[in-house]
Amino acid sequence: MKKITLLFYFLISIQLTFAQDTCATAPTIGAGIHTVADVNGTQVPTPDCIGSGNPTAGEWYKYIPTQAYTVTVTTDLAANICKDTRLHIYGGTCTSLSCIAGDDDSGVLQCNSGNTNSYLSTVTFNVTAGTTYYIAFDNRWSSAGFDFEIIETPIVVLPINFTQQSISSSSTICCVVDMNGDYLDDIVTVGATSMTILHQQTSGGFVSSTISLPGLTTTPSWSITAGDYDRNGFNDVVFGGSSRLTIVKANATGTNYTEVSYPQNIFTQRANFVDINNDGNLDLWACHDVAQSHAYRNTGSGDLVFDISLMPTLAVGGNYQSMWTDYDNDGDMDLYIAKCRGGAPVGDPQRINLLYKNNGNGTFTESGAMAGLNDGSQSWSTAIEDFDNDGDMDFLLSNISDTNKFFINNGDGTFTDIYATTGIAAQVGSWEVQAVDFNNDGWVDFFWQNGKEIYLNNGDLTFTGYDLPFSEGGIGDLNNDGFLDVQYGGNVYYNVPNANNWIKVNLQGVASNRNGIGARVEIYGAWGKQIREIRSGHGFSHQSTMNAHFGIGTETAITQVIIHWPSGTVDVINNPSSNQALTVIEGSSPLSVANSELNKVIIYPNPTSKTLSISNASQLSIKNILIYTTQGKIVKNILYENDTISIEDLAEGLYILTIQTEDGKKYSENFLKKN
Amino acid sequence: MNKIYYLIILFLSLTFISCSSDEDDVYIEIPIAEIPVAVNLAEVPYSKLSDYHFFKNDLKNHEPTTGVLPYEPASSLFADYAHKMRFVWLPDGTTATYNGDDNVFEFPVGTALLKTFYYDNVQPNNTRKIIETRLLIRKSDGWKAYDYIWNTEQTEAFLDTVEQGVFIPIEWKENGITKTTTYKTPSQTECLTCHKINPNQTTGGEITIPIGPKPQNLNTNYNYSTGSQNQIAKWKSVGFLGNDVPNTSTIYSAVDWNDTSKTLEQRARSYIDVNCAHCHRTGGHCDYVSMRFNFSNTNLDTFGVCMTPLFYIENGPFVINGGDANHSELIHRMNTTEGATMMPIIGRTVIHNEGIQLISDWINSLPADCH
Repeated sequence: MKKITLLFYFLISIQLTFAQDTCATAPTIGAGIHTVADVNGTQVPTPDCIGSGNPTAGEWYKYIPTQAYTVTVTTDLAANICKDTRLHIYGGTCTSLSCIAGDDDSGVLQCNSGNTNSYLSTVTFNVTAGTTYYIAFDNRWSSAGFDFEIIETPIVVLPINFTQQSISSSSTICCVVDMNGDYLDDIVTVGATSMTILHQQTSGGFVSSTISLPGLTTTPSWSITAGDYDRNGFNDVVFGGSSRLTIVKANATGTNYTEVSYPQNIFTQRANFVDINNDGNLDLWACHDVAQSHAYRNTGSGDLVFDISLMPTLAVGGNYQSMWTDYDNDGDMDLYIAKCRGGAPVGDPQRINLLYKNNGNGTFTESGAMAGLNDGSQSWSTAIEDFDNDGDMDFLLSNISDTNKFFINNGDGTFTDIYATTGIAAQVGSWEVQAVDFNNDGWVDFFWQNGKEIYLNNGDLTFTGYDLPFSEGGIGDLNNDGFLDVQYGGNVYYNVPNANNWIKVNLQGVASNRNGIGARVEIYGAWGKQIREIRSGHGFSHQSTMNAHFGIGTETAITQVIIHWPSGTVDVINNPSSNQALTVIEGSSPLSVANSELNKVIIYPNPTSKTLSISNASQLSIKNILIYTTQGKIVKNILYENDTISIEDLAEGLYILTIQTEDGKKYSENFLKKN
Repeated sequence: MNKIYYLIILFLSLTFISCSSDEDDVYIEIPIAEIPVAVNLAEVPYSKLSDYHFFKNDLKNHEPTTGVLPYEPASSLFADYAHKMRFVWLPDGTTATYNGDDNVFEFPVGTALLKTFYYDNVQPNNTRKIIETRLLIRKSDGWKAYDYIWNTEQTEAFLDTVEQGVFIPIEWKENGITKTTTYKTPSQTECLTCHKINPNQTTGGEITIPIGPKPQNLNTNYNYSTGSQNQIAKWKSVGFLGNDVPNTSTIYSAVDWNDTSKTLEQRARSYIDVNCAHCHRTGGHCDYVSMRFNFSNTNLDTFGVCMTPLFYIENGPFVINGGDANHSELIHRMNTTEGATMMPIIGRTVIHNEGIQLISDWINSLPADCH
């Protein structure tokens, strides 16, 4: 804008005093289009609801809705093309204004003079009847006049809401997990030489205890990971730093912790506790940003020793995030590594994601290309859940170049990217992504740092994005209401419950590792099947709850909960109550006691030596038949063809036969094989 | 060098030490025959820094042997306020070649670059403490990084064969203010995080390179024992450089960020180059974010001014928010020691307040027109 023009406006402004020059004199306006002659009021809008800038003038309006609305205030109007506005919405009084919303350039109208968005403003917010709101514009970019519109629409109730509460300590690499064995999620924060645990109380709220960690080698500057690797009932914590990894280990009573440091240099990224060799003890895995990743072998006597040979992966850097999951449903944990490397061209192995398929015998085979998961778009994080409730794990990749990916599991060891049809915005650049069922509707949602922070699962492999005041953190049920909350920094964001029902499944391993890390938890009901895996280390940097959480929507009846433990043990709990936590000790509800109360299945003859027949098979649409040993090991997986199956090749002993129907139900019976 | 020669040296040095200790009162430094620099590529890295004979007399004084030149880039990387001494040595009769103002000289095989990190006014006795001497040696298959860690007696530095880096607590006075940190020497992988580049972005194309000795950084005067002289001119005069190096007046050169006689922009971009550009340039460790922080990049748009950050930063809508340092990602990342947020990503544990002041002043001097 030329100076002469400015001078001209200046001259006008001293001649005329408009009511809208200050907050106190702001005219009251309602829905419709209004015109600002020019931005020349004496009161500069403060506080700045957008961020920064040094405007010198403002324009003020007062808006008092007659009823609750969702209101949009916008200058993104055809009349304003190529203009530049800046908008603040305040509550409170003129002497004590508080920001409700603010916007600079969210308008989408194209400017005629260029091929970019014009710099117009738009905000949407909910109002309550009779409350006074102030609408103010400033002249940071332009003092030129413009039109703006107030649009009142029926109030939109967001499908998910969080209330914010501050906590007494703060951490941005977050750990939300039960630390003391009561299955109530606690919060761990770390300082330079101390660790604070906020213990969730059964009566609500937290009790804080701070543990001194003198001479601490490294803080968790890149990641934090929890697991009870010495199986004393108290979680130990791994701090991942930029040059070291260190373990803070709980004593026998969980009242004190001591550091176990490791001399190896590692630019630690994601770490996970997992029983890599399936010997019943948790090993430790840690991604190394700039070299081959690390593994730490559990000696079985409560110690971890550095030993890459336990899990040797491609000996290059770029290892950002690891997720252990049973992607091929064969009962063991496979490893997926999200990789990123600056300077490396497309196709460079340092940035190609790796999938290590567990061969079930302590060895792994890299199978990324075969599975179609060998993405190379600079991945920082992966969320692996069954997003479509079809019984297998799907992969959502958060990348920072090219495109994100949504790999749907085809059920045959291969995956197909359906990102383009999911409704998720194309923006890349989030280092975090974590997926849980936030609204307890029975479908797994996710949150991350891109544009819309939370995406709710619509149940048809599409998602709808919403804004949140936070975008990452540790997830857990921090008020034990069955709805998952998030801690980030000095705040807990409590999930406001809706009417949906839920169940939490808390595990205590016996033959398997204490946490049950690597267990697959299934729940069955009218919805069919939902699955979760117990994992340690979530997203890029955080540790979230290790209690399996399921929403079940409006349903209340859960017909069966099945837990497949890493040891092979299978526990089955029929008809547990919803809206409660179900705690299962490994082996306490063995598969053999499982029975369906409806449609009683009879298998005959029993005992048998050659064949088994199923009594009412014609009434069930049987999908497949599984035969387990009493230790839970699958010895037969039979695609259903007729009522009689051969068991002649089985050794003598007691077996469990499980029928899975096309609609996801399960029926189990014991039989005795005799020669 | 054969073993007999080593024996002679050993003998000479023993003699020398015994003489000096016997004649404390009337000590006069007796010049001894200077031992030539030894960089036998088949044998390096040697176990001790003294094995190279880069320095004569008392090792800790870093008196360069003939053929070893001290140098100093126009601006220095901030490394927790550590001071640095740098030296270059080229095999006799070899020459480095010019590869652009903003690329390191192409040094011949056999070249050694040395950088010693030390603190002055170390508490409690205000003494000097030398911590480490880092070496880059060019072998036939590329540059190799070695680190020599000084003993507490400050008489010798020993090769870090473990290559995991060591932590050294240090308390010192900086401008009269006592500061403390736990200084960390780099592991082998940490050396390469900064000293690597994939110049042509090819698969397997990562190489290790020096960072400082670029024409843009050496086109300044250095106070040699023979007097002050332009470093590039000096390197030419001793045969380290040839006539392929352009006239120094045409080299697009960085400045000393401390030199207030230079423009704010020159100082700020020089500081950013030396602290950030080894990663934030094409082929660098962080080239997946769009900023190109090399001094030679004079395009402020790609330098980050008004650029939207790749990663969401609260209250940091632009990498460099013209006129508004406090709402710039660059300042946000300089003004923290949180590992996953701070920049540079390694090499410091404390905040460089003087650097923040400089960059803030520069950002605040830019037009406030970022949208």
